[in-house]
Amino acid sequence: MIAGRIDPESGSRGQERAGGFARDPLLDRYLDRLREVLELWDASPSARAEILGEIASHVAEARREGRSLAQVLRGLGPADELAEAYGVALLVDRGRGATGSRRARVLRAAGRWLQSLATSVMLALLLIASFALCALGALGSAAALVLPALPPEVLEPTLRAGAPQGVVLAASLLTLALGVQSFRWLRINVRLARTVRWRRRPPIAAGPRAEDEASGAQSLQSFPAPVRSPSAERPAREGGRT
Amino acid sequence: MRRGLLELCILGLLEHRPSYGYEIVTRLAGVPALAVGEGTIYPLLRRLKSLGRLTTYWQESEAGPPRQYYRLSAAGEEYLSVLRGEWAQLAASVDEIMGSRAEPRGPARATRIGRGIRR
Repeated sequence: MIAGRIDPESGSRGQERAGGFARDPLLDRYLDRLREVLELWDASPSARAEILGEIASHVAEARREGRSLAQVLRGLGPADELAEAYGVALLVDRGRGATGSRRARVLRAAGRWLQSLATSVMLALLLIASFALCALGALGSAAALVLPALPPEVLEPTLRAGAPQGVVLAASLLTLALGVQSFRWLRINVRLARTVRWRRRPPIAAGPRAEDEASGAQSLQSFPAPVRSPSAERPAREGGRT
Repeated sequence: MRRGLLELCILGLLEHRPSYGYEIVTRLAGVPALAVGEGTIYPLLRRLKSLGRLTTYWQESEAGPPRQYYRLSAAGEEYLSVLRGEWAQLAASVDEIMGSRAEPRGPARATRIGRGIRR
Protein backbone atom coordinates (compact mmCIF):
# COMPACT_ATOMS: atom_id res chain seq x y z
CA MET A 1 0.00 0.00 0.00
CA ILE A 2 1.20 3.44 -0.72
CA ALA A 3 -0.47 6.31 0.96
CA GLY A 4 -0.08 9.86 -0.25
CA ARG A 5 1.99 8.82 -3.18
CA ILE A 6 0.54 11.34 -5.57
CA ASP A 7 1.99 14.81 -5.54
CA PRO A 8 -0.72 17.21 -4.37
CA GLU A 9 0.30 19.85 -6.85
CA SER A 10 0.53 17.46 -9.76
CA GLY A 11 -1.07 18.30 -13.01
CA SER A 12 -0.46 16.52 -16.22
CA ARG A 13 3.27 16.60 -15.58
CA GLY A 14 2.77 14.72 -12.34
CA GLN A 15 0.80 12.06 -14.13
CA GLU A 16 3.55 11.18 -16.55
CA ARG A 17 4.88 8.65 -14.10
CA ALA A 18 1.41 7.21 -13.77
CA GLY A 19 1.15 4.97 -16.73
CA GLY A 20 3.29 6.45 -19.42
CA PHE A 21 0.29 7.54 -21.49
CA ALA A 22 -0.08 11.02 -20.04
CA ARG A 23 2.43 12.50 -22.44
CA ASP A 24 -0.31 12.56 -25.01
CA PRO A 25 -1.25 16.23 -25.48
CA LEU A 26 -4.93 15.30 -25.66
CA LEU A 27 -4.77 13.69 -22.23
CA ASP A 28 -2.67 16.58 -20.94
CA ARG A 29 -5.33 19.02 -22.05
CA TYR A 30 -8.08 16.88 -20.53
CA LEU A 31 -6.35 16.62 -17.16
CA ASP A 32 -5.42 20.31 -17.17
CA ARG A 33 -9.01 21.25 -17.86
CA LEU A 34 -10.23 18.88 -15.15
CA ARG A 35 -7.81 20.43 -12.68
CA GLU A 36 -8.86 23.98 -13.64
CA VAL A 37 -12.55 23.32 -13.08
CA LEU A 38 -11.84 21.45 -9.86
CA GLU A 39 -9.97 24.55 -8.68
CA LEU A 40 -13.08 26.59 -9.41
CA TRP A 41 -14.97 24.19 -7.17
CA ASP A 42 -12.46 24.96 -4.40
CA ALA A 43 -11.12 21.41 -4.40
CA SER A 44 -8.22 21.09 -2.00
CA PRO A 45 -4.83 20.18 -3.52
CA SER A 46 -5.01 16.70 -2.03
CA ALA A 47 -8.53 16.12 -3.40
CA ARG A 48 -7.43 17.35 -6.83
CA ALA A 49 -4.41 15.11 -6.80
CA GLU A 50 -6.50 12.09 -5.85
CA ILE A 51 -9.06 12.77 -8.57
CA LEU A 52 -6.44 13.42 -11.25
CA GLY A 53 -4.51 10.36 -10.16
CA GLU A 54 -7.60 8.20 -10.40
CA ILE A 55 -8.56 9.47 -13.84
CA ALA A 56 -4.99 9.01 -15.07
CA SER A 57 -5.06 5.51 -13.65
CA HIS A 58 -8.38 4.83 -15.42
CA VAL A 59 -6.97 6.01 -18.73
CA ALA A 60 -3.86 3.90 -18.36
CA GLU A 61 -5.89 0.78 -17.49
CA ALA A 62 -8.24 1.32 -20.39
CA ARG A 63 -5.42 1.87 -22.85
CA ARG A 64 -3.70 -1.27 -21.67
CA GLU A 65 -6.83 -3.11 -22.74
CA GLY A 66 -6.37 -1.73 -26.24
CA ARG A 67 -8.84 1.16 -26.23
CA SER A 68 -7.79 4.36 -27.92
CA LEU A 69 -7.35 7.50 -25.89
CA ALA A 70 -10.18 9.23 -27.71
CA GLN A 71 -12.51 6.33 -26.87
CA VAL A 72 -11.53 6.40 -23.22
CA LEU A 73 -12.01 10.14 -22.90
CA ARG A 74 -15.32 9.93 -24.70
CA GLY A 75 -16.38 7.32 -22.15
CA LEU A 76 -15.46 9.65 -19.31
CA GLY A 77 -17.31 12.57 -20.85
CA PRO A 78 -16.18 16.20 -21.15
CA ALA A 79 -13.70 17.29 -18.48
CA ASP A 80 -16.00 20.13 -17.41
CA GLU A 81 -18.92 17.80 -16.79
CA LEU A 82 -16.76 15.29 -14.98
CA ALA A 83 -15.38 18.05 -12.74
CA GLU A 84 -18.88 19.33 -12.04
CA ALA A 85 -20.01 15.87 -11.04
CA TYR A 86 -17.02 15.68 -8.73
CA GLY A 87 -17.99 19.12 -7.46
CA VAL A 88 -21.10 17.68 -5.81
CA ALA A 89 -18.93 15.19 -3.95
CA LEU A 90 -16.60 18.03 -2.99
CA LEU A 91 -19.54 19.92 -1.53
CA VAL A 92 -20.16 16.90 0.67
CA ASP A 93 -16.49 17.07 1.65
CA ARG A 94 -16.86 20.72 2.51
CA GLY A 95 -19.98 20.03 4.54
CA ARG A 96 -17.94 17.64 6.61
CA GLY A 97 -15.08 20.11 6.84
CA ALA A 98 -12.78 17.78 4.96
CA THR A 99 -11.69 20.25 2.29
CA GLY A 100 -8.55 22.27 2.84
CA SER A 101 -6.06 22.37 5.63
CA ARG A 102 -6.86 23.41 9.17
CA ARG A 103 -5.23 26.77 8.52
CA ALA A 104 -7.40 27.34 5.46
CA ARG A 105 -10.54 26.47 7.42
CA VAL A 106 -9.54 28.84 10.24
CA LEU A 107 -8.87 31.62 7.72
CA ARG A 108 -12.20 31.01 5.99
CA ALA A 109 -14.00 31.12 9.34
CA ALA A 110 -12.15 34.32 10.31
CA GLY A 111 -13.09 35.90 6.96
CA ARG A 112 -16.73 34.98 7.46
CA TRP A 113 -16.63 36.37 11.01
CA LEU A 114 -15.09 39.66 9.84
CA GLN A 115 -17.67 39.95 7.10
CA SER A 116 -20.48 39.39 9.59
CA LEU A 117 -18.95 41.98 11.92
CA ALA A 118 -18.69 44.57 9.14
CA THR A 119 -22.31 43.91 8.13
CA SER A 120 -23.48 44.23 11.73
CA VAL A 121 -21.63 47.55 12.20
CA MET A 122 -23.05 48.89 8.96
CA LEU A 123 -26.59 47.89 9.94
CA ALA A 124 -26.18 49.38 13.42
CA LEU A 125 -25.00 52.69 11.92
CA LEU A 126 -27.93 52.70 9.53
CA LEU A 127 -30.31 52.05 12.43
CA ILE A 128 -28.84 54.95 14.45
CA ALA A 129 -28.96 57.26 11.41
CA SER A 130 -32.59 56.31 10.73
CA PHE A 131 -33.62 57.03 14.32
CA ALA A 132 -31.68 60.32 14.36
CA LEU A 133 -33.19 61.51 11.08
CA CYS A 134 -36.73 60.62 12.13
CA ALA A 135 -36.32 62.30 15.51
CA LEU A 136 -34.78 65.42 13.97
CA GLY A 137 -37.50 65.62 11.33
CA ALA A 138 -40.31 65.19 13.87
CA LEU A 139 -38.82 67.72 16.27
CA GLY A 140 -38.13 70.21 13.50
CA SER A 141 -41.68 69.91 12.15
CA ALA A 142 -43.15 70.34 15.61
CA ALA A 143 -40.93 73.34 16.28
CA ALA A 144 -41.82 74.95 12.96
CA LEU A 145 -45.53 74.58 13.73
CA VAL A 146 -45.54 75.36 17.43
CA LEU A 147 -42.91 78.05 17.94
CA PRO A 148 -44.49 80.83 15.77
CA ALA A 149 -47.76 80.37 17.63
CA LEU A 150 -46.14 81.16 20.97
CA PRO A 151 -46.32 84.76 22.22
CA PRO A 152 -43.25 86.82 21.31
CA GLU A 153 -42.25 87.42 24.91
CA VAL A 154 -41.94 83.66 25.51
CA LEU A 155 -39.38 83.27 22.75
CA GLU A 156 -35.90 84.56 22.86
CA PRO A 157 -35.14 87.10 20.11
CA THR A 158 -32.58 84.75 18.55
CA LEU A 159 -35.17 82.06 17.97
CA ARG A 160 -37.56 84.46 16.37
CA ALA A 161 -34.87 85.75 14.07
CA GLY A 162 -34.38 82.27 12.54
CA ALA A 163 -35.35 80.96 9.10
CA PRO A 164 -38.92 81.44 7.88
CA GLN A 165 -41.47 78.90 9.14
CA GLY A 166 -42.09 77.41 5.73
CA VAL A 167 -38.43 76.63 5.10
CA VAL A 168 -37.97 75.05 8.53
CA LEU A 169 -41.10 72.95 8.07
CA ALA A 170 -40.05 71.78 4.61
CA ALA A 171 -36.54 70.92 5.75
CA SER A 172 -37.92 69.03 8.75
CA LEU A 173 -40.40 67.06 6.67
CA LEU A 174 -37.64 66.22 4.23
CA THR A 175 -35.47 64.97 7.10
CA LEU A 176 -38.37 62.90 8.42
CA ALA A 177 -38.94 61.38 4.98
CA LEU A 178 -35.24 60.58 4.75
CA GLY A 179 -35.41 58.90 8.15
CA VAL A 180 -38.37 56.75 7.06
CA GLN A 181 -36.55 55.84 3.86
CA SER A 182 -33.49 54.88 5.92
CA PHE A 183 -35.64 52.46 7.87
CA ARG A 184 -36.71 50.89 4.56
CA TRP A 185 -33.08 50.56 3.46
CA LEU A 186 -32.31 49.01 6.80
CA ARG A 187 -35.06 46.44 6.35
CA ILE A 188 -33.82 45.57 2.86
CA ASN A 189 -30.25 45.24 4.11
CA VAL A 190 -31.28 43.01 7.00
CA ARG A 191 -33.12 40.73 4.56
CA LEU A 192 -30.11 40.72 2.25
CA ALA A 193 -27.74 39.89 5.10
CA ARG A 194 -30.00 37.02 6.17
CA THR A 195 -30.14 35.65 2.64
CA VAL A 196 -26.36 35.82 2.22
CA ARG A 197 -25.88 34.13 5.58
CA TRP A 198 -28.32 31.37 4.60
CA ARG A 199 -26.64 30.84 1.23
CA ARG A 200 -23.21 30.68 2.83
CA ARG A 201 -24.21 27.80 5.09
CA PRO A 202 -22.51 24.50 4.32
CA PRO A 203 -24.74 22.56 1.97
CA ILE A 204 -24.87 19.59 4.28
CA ALA A 205 -25.01 20.03 8.00
CA ALA A 206 -22.88 17.82 10.21
CA GLY A 207 -24.39 14.65 11.55
CA PRO A 208 -25.37 11.41 9.94
CA ARG A 209 -29.07 12.24 9.64
CA ALA A 210 -28.42 15.41 7.71
CA GLU A 211 -26.01 13.60 5.44
CA ASP A 212 -28.55 10.95 4.72
CA GLU A 213 -31.25 13.48 4.03
CA ALA A 214 -28.93 15.35 1.68
CA SER A 215 -27.73 12.53 -0.41
CA GLY A 216 -28.06 9.12 0.97
CA ALA A 217 -30.81 7.30 2.73
CA GLN A 218 -33.65 8.34 0.48
CA SER A 219 -31.58 7.48 -2.52
CA LEU A 220 -33.90 4.88 -3.93
CA GLN A 221 -36.89 7.17 -3.78
CA SER A 222 -35.82 10.60 -4.92
CA PHE A 223 -32.83 12.78 -5.51
CA PRO A 224 -32.40 16.50 -5.67
CA ALA A 225 -30.95 17.92 -8.86
CA PRO A 226 -27.15 18.15 -8.71
CA VAL A 227 -25.91 21.44 -7.31
CA ARG A 228 -24.19 23.48 -9.98
CA SER A 229 -21.67 26.12 -9.18
CA PRO A 230 -22.08 29.25 -11.25
CA SER A 231 -18.33 29.63 -11.27
CA ALA A 232 -17.98 26.20 -12.78
CA GLU A 233 -20.51 26.96 -15.49
CA ARG A 234 -18.46 29.87 -16.74
CA PRO A 235 -15.58 27.88 -18.17
CA ALA A 236 -18.02 25.43 -19.71
CA ARG A 237 -19.51 28.22 -21.76
CA GLU A 238 -16.10 29.53 -22.70
CA GLY A 239 -15.37 26.27 -24.43
CA GLY A 240 -12.22 24.27 -23.92
CA ARG A 241 -13.93 20.92 -23.98
CA THR A 242 -11.80 18.19 -25.26
CA MET B 1 -33.56 6.72 -8.44
CA ARG B 2 -30.89 5.61 -10.87
CA ARG B 3 -28.15 7.02 -8.68
CA GLY B 4 -29.60 5.15 -5.73
CA LEU B 5 -29.46 1.95 -7.74
CA LEU B 6 -25.89 2.71 -8.73
CA GLU B 7 -24.94 3.21 -5.12
CA LEU B 8 -26.56 -0.09 -4.28
CA CYS B 9 -24.65 -1.81 -7.09
CA ILE B 10 -21.33 -0.23 -6.11
CA LEU B 11 -21.71 -1.13 -2.45
CA GLY B 12 -22.86 -4.61 -3.46
CA LEU B 13 -19.75 -5.06 -5.61
CA LEU B 14 -17.53 -4.04 -2.73
CA GLU B 15 -19.30 -6.14 -0.14
CA HIS B 16 -17.00 -9.10 -0.31
CA ARG B 17 -13.72 -7.65 -1.48
CA PRO B 18 -12.08 -4.28 -2.15
CA SER B 19 -11.87 -3.17 -5.73
CA TYR B 20 -10.30 -0.35 -7.72
CA GLY B 21 -12.04 2.30 -9.78
CA TYR B 22 -11.49 0.86 -13.23
CA GLU B 23 -12.68 -2.59 -12.19
CA ILE B 24 -15.86 -1.17 -10.68
CA VAL B 25 -16.45 1.00 -13.72
CA THR B 26 -16.04 -1.83 -16.21
CA ARG B 27 -18.28 -4.13 -14.18
CA LEU B 28 -21.07 -1.56 -14.04
CA ALA B 29 -20.58 -0.24 -17.57
CA GLY B 30 -20.99 -3.82 -18.75
CA VAL B 31 -24.58 -3.93 -17.49
CA PRO B 32 -26.65 -2.38 -20.28
CA ALA B 33 -29.74 -1.98 -18.10
CA LEU B 34 -27.89 0.43 -15.85
CA ALA B 35 -26.91 2.60 -18.84
CA VAL B 36 -24.13 4.19 -16.90
CA GLY B 37 -21.24 6.19 -18.30
CA GLU B 38 -17.74 5.72 -17.00
CA GLY B 39 -17.62 9.36 -15.93
CA THR B 40 -20.62 8.85 -13.65
CA ILE B 41 -19.06 6.24 -11.41
CA TYR B 42 -15.94 8.05 -10.22
CA PRO B 43 -17.73 11.08 -8.73
CA LEU B 44 -20.17 8.68 -7.09
CA LEU B 45 -17.29 6.75 -5.55
CA ARG B 46 -15.85 10.02 -4.32
CA ARG B 47 -19.17 10.98 -2.77
CA LEU B 48 -19.55 7.63 -1.02
CA LYS B 49 -16.04 8.08 0.28
CA SER B 50 -16.80 11.63 1.47
CA LEU B 51 -19.84 10.33 3.30
CA GLY B 52 -17.69 7.77 5.07
CA ARG B 53 -19.33 4.78 3.40
CA LEU B 54 -16.17 3.77 1.61
CA THR B 55 -12.54 3.92 2.60
CA THR B 56 -9.64 3.94 0.16
CA TYR B 57 -6.03 2.98 -0.09
CA TRP B 58 -3.53 3.15 -2.92
CA GLN B 59 -1.78 0.05 -4.12
CA GLU B 60 0.91 -0.49 -6.72
CA SER B 61 -0.23 -2.21 -9.86
CA GLU B 62 1.94 -4.78 -11.66
CA ALA B 63 1.93 -2.78 -14.84
CA GLY B 64 0.93 0.84 -14.79
CA PRO B 65 0.03 3.50 -12.30
CA PRO B 66 -0.99 2.84 -8.71
CA ARG B 67 -4.63 2.00 -8.17
CA GLN B 68 -6.96 3.47 -5.63
CA TYR B 69 -8.81 0.62 -3.96
CA TYR B 70 -12.20 1.11 -2.38
CA ARG B 71 -13.60 -0.96 0.42
CA LEU B 72 -16.76 -0.86 2.46
CA SER B 73 -16.62 0.86 5.84
CA ALA B 74 -18.85 -0.10 8.76
CA ALA B 75 -21.14 2.81 7.85
CA GLY B 76 -21.15 1.55 4.26
CA GLU B 77 -22.24 -1.93 5.34
CA GLU B 78 -25.05 -0.42 7.34
CA TYR B 79 -26.07 1.75 4.42
CA LEU B 80 -25.96 -1.24 2.08
CA SER B 81 -28.40 -3.11 4.26
CA VAL B 82 -30.71 -0.07 4.27
CA LEU B 83 -30.55 0.16 0.47
CA ARG B 84 -31.15 -3.57 0.14
CA GLY B 85 -34.26 -3.27 2.27
CA GLU B 86 -35.53 -0.37 0.18
CA TRP B 87 -34.76 -2.21 -3.04
CA ALA B 88 -36.61 -5.32 -1.87
CA GLN B 89 -39.63 -3.20 -0.98
CA LEU B 90 -39.54 -1.34 -4.28
CA ALA B 91 -39.09 -4.49 -6.34
CA ALA B 92 -41.93 -6.21 -4.49
CA SER B 93 -44.21 -3.22 -5.09
CA VAL B 94 -43.37 -3.07 -8.79
CA ASP B 95 -43.81 -6.84 -9.15
CA GLU B 96 -47.17 -6.60 -7.49
CA ILE B 97 -48.32 -3.83 -9.82
CA MET B 98 -46.98 -5.53 -12.92
CA GLY B 99 -48.34 -8.90 -11.83
CA SER B 100 -51.83 -7.56 -11.23
CA ARG B 101 -51.86 -5.97 -14.69
CA ALA B 102 -50.19 -8.78 -16.56
CA GLU B 103 -52.41 -11.63 -15.31
CA PRO B 104 -55.67 -10.82 -17.09
CA ARG B 105 -54.06 -9.45 -20.26
CA GLY B 106 -51.09 -11.75 -20.59
CA PRO B 107 -52.66 -14.97 -21.92
CA ALA B 108 -55.01 -13.16 -24.29
CA ARG B 109 -52.16 -11.15 -25.79
CA ALA B 110 -50.00 -14.24 -26.06
CA THR B 111 -52.83 -16.00 -27.89
CA ARG B 112 -53.17 -13.13 -30.34
CA ILE B 113 -49.44 -13.14 -31.01
CA GLY B 114 -49.55 -16.91 -31.40
CA ARG B 115 -52.34 -16.63 -33.94
CA GLY B 116 -50.38 -14.02 -35.86
CA ILE B 117 -47.38 -16.32 -36.11
CA ARG B 118 -49.48 -19.26 -37.27
CA ARG B 119 -50.98 -17.15 -40.05
